[in-house]
Amino acid sequence: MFEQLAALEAGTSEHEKIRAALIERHLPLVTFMARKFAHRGEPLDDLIQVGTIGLIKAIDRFEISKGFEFSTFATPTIVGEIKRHFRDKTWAVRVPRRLQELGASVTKASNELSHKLDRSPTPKEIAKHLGVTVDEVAEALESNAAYSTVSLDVTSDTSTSIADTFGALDEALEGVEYRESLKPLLAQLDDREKRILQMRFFDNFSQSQIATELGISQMHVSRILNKVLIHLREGLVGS
Amino acid sequence: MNTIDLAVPAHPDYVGLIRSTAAHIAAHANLTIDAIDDLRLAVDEAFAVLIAHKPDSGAVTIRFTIQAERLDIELTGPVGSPAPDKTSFAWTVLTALVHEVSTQTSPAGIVTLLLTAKVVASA
Repeated sequence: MFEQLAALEAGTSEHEKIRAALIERHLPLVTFMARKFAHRGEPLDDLIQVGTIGLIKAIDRFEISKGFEFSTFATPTIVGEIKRHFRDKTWAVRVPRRLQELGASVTKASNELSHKLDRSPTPKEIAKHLGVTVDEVAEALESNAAYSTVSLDVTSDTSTSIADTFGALDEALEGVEYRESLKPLLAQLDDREKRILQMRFFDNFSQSQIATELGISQMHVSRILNKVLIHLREGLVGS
Repeated sequence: MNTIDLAVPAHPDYVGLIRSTAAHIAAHANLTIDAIDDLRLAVDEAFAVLIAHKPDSGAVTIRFTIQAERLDIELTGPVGSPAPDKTSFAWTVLTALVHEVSTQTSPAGIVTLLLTAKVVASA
């Protein structure tokens, strides 16, 4: 398949098709590598997402003539992206290891209980599930929230076009004051940020529902919303 | 019913303190994880609204009232902060994040924002 890919011109639909098939075929490799990092406090879905970016880079750079196995070539690139994700999202404050681990357990329990209850769980329910106190859960939630929000611009492959999202958001903002000063600020957001903003504030989706819809974690949705609101607030004050 | 009072300088440096306090209280008040995260954002937004006009003068007081089915957070701004505009983006954000938002201005011109979050019924 790599031979076929190399023979085709990049950008053609045939090339895209084979590239997509190659990505799909090697996704288990990404999942496998992501699992190795899953106990470090980041949701597996997010790790798979960044790992997939590494995979795509590897596919685009792979040269079959050099004689390597693709998996040998791709593994360091995938791991590199996952590690970069951790490096970019270093803790904003120094969080003790015990809390980092508890944070990971709380995230995991929260996901499990969400499925079981069909709604977001309460800290009390999580505490009971894990056999810890509510205070410990509260502390762990706080430390999860203390992750730096600097690098969240991992764009996912959402099917809405930019025009669609922006049109809907623009319509939703009808009647909101400062609409004109908001516009340039909104234009700086990426497609997914706009979509999340629209879903949370105008379509009445909960954070968990958005997470499910977009295939990312609720914690990730929360961080993106926080980042977007700070961006809009600072922009409005500055103008 | 339990109340917790907090007063902080009307300066952006203190928003983290009230955000964390709100989250911690909400965790004990039986809000869901979703609602706690929404409340964090709402407290940020409300604090920003109250100090936007003249940051760094006076104080913001926050009263948390924990009840069986709800958590009320009353934020009172420093003298001179303007009443929030209900057509603003900030107001749109607030109404989406909590169950109820309302505002009052005292005869002395002191603005209060009241945020109400609902406690999950089965807990």
